[in-house]
Amino acid sequence: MERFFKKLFPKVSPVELIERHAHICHEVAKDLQIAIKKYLDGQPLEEYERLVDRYEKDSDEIKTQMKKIYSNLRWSFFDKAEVRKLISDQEKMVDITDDIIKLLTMNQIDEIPQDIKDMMMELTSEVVKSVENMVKTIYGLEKVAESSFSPAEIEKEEMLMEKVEKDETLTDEIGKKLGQRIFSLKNSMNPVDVIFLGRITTMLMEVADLAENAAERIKLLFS
Amino acid sequence: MLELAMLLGFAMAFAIGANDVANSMATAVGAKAITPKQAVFISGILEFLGAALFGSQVTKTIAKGIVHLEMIDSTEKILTGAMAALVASTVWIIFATIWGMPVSTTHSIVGGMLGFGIAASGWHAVNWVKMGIIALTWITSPFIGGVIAYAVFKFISIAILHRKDPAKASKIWTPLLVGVAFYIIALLLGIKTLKLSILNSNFFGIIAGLISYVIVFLYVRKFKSIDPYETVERIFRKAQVVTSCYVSFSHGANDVANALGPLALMYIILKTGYTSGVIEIPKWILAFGGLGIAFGVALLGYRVMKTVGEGITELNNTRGFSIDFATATTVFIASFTGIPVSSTHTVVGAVTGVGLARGIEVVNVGILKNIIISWLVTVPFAAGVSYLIVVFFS
Repeated sequence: MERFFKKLFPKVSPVELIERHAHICHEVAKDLQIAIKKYLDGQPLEEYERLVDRYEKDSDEIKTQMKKIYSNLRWSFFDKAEVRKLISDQEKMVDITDDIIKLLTMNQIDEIPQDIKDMMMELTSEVVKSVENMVKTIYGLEKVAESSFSPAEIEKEEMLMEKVEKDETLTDEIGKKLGQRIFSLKNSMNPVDVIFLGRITTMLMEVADLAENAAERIKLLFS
Repeated sequence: MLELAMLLGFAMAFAIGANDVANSMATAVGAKAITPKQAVFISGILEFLGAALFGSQVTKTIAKGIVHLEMIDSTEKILTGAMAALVASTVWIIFATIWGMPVSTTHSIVGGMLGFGIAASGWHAVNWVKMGIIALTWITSPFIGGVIAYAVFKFISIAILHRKDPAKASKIWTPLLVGVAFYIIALLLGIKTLKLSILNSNFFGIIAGLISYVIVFLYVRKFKSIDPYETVERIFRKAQVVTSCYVSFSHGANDVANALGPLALMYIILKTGYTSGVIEIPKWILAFGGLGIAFGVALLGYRVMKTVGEGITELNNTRGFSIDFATATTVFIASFTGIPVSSTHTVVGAVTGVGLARGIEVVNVGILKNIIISWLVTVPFAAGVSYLIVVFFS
């Protein structure tokens, strides 16, 4: 009988799993910032490549666990399909970060102009900020559920979502300027390096874009 | 024979205490309102009180409501039948426990009595109207538990959690909810046990409700935390101690009959030879059953409560309170009307109700299927075994 009663509840709360997944995104974003800095300083990145690989594996495990729990769960706080999409957005964030770091290990550019380095660090820092705010929004989900979807808590979440949107707009602006500056070097720099740096820039912007998508997805969880 | 029946009845009461009580207290332990040790202490006392003060109605139903005893030609057959019902029910519970099936001791004993009635004097010996009502309540009790839990949780959401200052709102409304619980207990205690009029019982209930309101109000008013929701949960953690007592009391009142129904019947026949008309269940038999449950809780309940409670990690006190309040009220009202219901299934109904109100993430769908299967299997199995025993010994 005791076995039966315990089966009534999920072993791990799906909200906790979403939070754990968001935590991975946060860790990956922080590592991305360090990796970019090291790259620009000409230092090796293999350690971060391994680290992100591990995060990618952890992210997959959470996704599998989530799938298993949701397939048995009758009632959940949030729409299951939307949660799956949210996790998928978060997973893409981890994947792209992994791709960025891998790409960085493929081509070392010795002489990057200082202003491009600064702009790239600024962009990365804004990307990390938007991921951080997205993670904060996700951590707020627990409070929303605890308060039984109190309008006051939902309002707080919406304010955080707006912040993520603003961050994304800012990363777009910085990214665009950075891209323009990179391509302005097409006649003085190796064209492959120009395309390479341009690619890194768009990928960084994509991370912020996914953070915004995830935050927007959270809005749908409340309806 | 009576000694053997007493031994079997006590063993059944012991098993209920050791196993079944944990399901009723699981939400309180799981939500950390009480420790497994406190749960053992509370349920040991309150199961006994519930059984002794309120157990007679359901015991009467089991003993005399299911089978038309006057249609059975010999008292020996009745004695054999009562014993067969007890044995069949015990056998089924043992099997179900081994398989981990969510079966109800209530359903088992009712099945056992049904089999005995059919074997002793044919299909017409069974009070089918009563059986119909009992069977209907097995479906309606989880449903009612669910509706009450849904309503209580929605009330908590709107009146407390959605307020600007949830902590302040909780200090006003939580004492009221506890007061309502005390009102219900005192009202029914007044009518059934103290034999007061409805008006006087109401008065008694209101006084009990008001006193508990004031005590809880004064107790929780200084509760404070940085997080308002944490304050709410802290207040409900204390309130859940009251509802866990309420659950234990109701459980004792209803489930003691599962162990004592046939035993009470045998005792009355052996001592008075009386099988028709209204029967009175001796108080000492109810106390004996209550003691059996209390012993079961005290000796084996701790381990089960610890296992069950620790397995539930995702339950907080506002949700736990709603589940406990709904379960206890449903089972208590059923006990008042003499209807044997499954406390475990009512808890499942209440958990589902809170889930439906978006209060908790439940329910493992497989469990609901298991419950339906147990509904369909328990009665025929217990009835079949009981039938075979009666036929064999006749």
